[in-house]
Amino acid sequence: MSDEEAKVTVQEAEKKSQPVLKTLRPENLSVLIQKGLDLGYKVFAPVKDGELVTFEQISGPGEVFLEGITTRMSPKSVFFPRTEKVFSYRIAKEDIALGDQKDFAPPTIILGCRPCDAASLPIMDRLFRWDYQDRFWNERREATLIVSISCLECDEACFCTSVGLAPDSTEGSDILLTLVSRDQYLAEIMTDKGADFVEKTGLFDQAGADLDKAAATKAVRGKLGQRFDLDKIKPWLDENYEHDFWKEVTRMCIGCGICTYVCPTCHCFDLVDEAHYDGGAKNKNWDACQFAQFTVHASGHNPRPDQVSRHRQRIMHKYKYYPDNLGATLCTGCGRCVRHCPMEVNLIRILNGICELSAGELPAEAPESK
Amino acid sequence: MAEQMKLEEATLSDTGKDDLDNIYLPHLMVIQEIAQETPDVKSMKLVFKDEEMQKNFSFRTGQFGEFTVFGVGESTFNICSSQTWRDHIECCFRKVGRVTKALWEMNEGDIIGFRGPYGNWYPVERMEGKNILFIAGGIALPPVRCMIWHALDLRDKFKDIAILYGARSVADLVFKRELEEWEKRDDVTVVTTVDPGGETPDWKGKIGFVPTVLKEMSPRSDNAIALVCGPPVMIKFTLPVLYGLGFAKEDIITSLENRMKCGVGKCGRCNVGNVYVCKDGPIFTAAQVELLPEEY
Repeated sequence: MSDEEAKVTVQEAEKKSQPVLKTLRPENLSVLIQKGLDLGYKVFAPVKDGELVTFEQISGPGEVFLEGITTRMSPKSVFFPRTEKVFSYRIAKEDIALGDQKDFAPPTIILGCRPCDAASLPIMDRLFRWDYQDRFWNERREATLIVSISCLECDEACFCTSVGLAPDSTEGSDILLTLVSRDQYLAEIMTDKGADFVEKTGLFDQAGADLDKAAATKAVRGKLGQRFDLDKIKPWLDENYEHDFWKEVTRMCIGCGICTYVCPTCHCFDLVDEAHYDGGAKNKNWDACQFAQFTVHASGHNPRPDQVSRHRQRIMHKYKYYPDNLGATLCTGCGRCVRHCPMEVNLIRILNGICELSAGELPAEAPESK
Repeated sequence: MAEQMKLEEATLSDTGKDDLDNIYLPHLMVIQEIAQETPDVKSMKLVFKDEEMQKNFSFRTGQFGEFTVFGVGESTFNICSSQTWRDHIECCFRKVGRVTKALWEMNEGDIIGFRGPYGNWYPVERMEGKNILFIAGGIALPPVRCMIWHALDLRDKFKDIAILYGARSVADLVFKRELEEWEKRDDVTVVTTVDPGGETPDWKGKIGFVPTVLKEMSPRSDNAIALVCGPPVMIKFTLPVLYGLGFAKEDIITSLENRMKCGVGKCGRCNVGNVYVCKDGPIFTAAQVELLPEEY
């Protein structure tokens, strides 16, 4: 076993072999949030601002908004901010002094995470713990408790069940809450970190044996169905780097990169210097494979010169390269890329098209529009 | 496939990794000496500001580094010196982008940042005991030059050494003084060439493109390894000539030059097919490159 595999396994070993089941009364969710704040955690939760629901740091339970399907942005920015300083420097006379970053990983709770977003975290751990260790991601992961809530609703863009997940998957959650009746959340406590917190709050009750998570999420599972057959995707991608299909499905793409910014698993970044009068910093900024600037050489040569090659790269990376290199599909079916594409490029439709091609059929309709 | 593409396995100590390190934090290096190679190419000798660091630093020939001009940005260059030199490292760059323009303006004694060494290295053990043919075009001599010096420093370990180097014009040849030094040696064959029209009245080398001159040279392919670096168009026309001479794809080695940022397999920029050029490369055989999508 290589070192990187060993590290992933260590993290997975922190999981309890059997989740501990407890219950929480819905009215106590606010008390739970307040306890978290009182215990000194930074708490991030969905907050509504006009039409927009995003994960924000909150100062009281009243700010939390738990309705709706997913937030506009995933909570990945808690671990991997849009922009963050990775070191600073100061110019003093003829010399340069470097300043490392400290205290960037305070104890944190993410509350109200959806299972698709929670599942993105262990998938991304594989990259940031692969070989060289990215301490900015890793230390924040270790300091953060994930309290997720199962989905009882979905929309046309959701497809977690098609990538091996579910509206009530526990992957990546320390505690998963499922509303099993009007006055009861079933709490699945998945890790020691989760168990410690449950004990500290004193708000959870013993669960009776009659609680049935599957019954609570049955309706939404039925609505989600199977939107494509994941098993057919990679074998087709393995063989079809060159295919006219790519031109067809990416014709509408304008390369705005929104799919990568709203994505909980897109992680490409840039390292950019910022200069002030007597010093400056190196910043790690979100970047996107959808931009021509991403790969262009100083000579002007661009190995991915058009939107077709850049869009293909995104799909290949998620459904072929990442599984080949790191053993997981780089997608959790959150549906944000489908929901927010201004040109209605639809990943579900593209993947469906691939399934049809792999079965030797032509896609039933033009795949680039809804 | 990524695993198979590694020519040699790195060990943790070889690459200087430390789990507690901030992988984005550079070491400070002092520019010890600057040489202007051409109107727009300079090479630099660099030493770590921390003497202990310089003493303990090691790398393998063919690896690269991330070089920071503070306040401007970071650029990826091959370490164009050999691992056999322990008192400094060298880099060579063309003034073309924002960072290289800023680096161009710097003076001896100035401080830059360095992260590395990163990536894999030339398969030296496989090259020992063989005839080595070095082929380079233009600004791509530096990533070949580190291995040339490596082979010359350990001359007994290699059989015949031949170097073919071409540039657009005489003015564009880099490391001219070293080319002259190699030409004087009787244990190396050196052929230099410039594109037609790029010659000067006193030019004594060849006139013609690298693939054409290579065909004339017609080096033997038995027990030989070819190391080829150059612009994509040169590589494209040179490979068929090498195949024609009988070189196997496994015996042709090149260094890919994809744009990079982090250098450590995180930022996604140099991902080509299943490979991260920064981690699985930059050194590949022609057989390995052939398996990649054409995104380099």
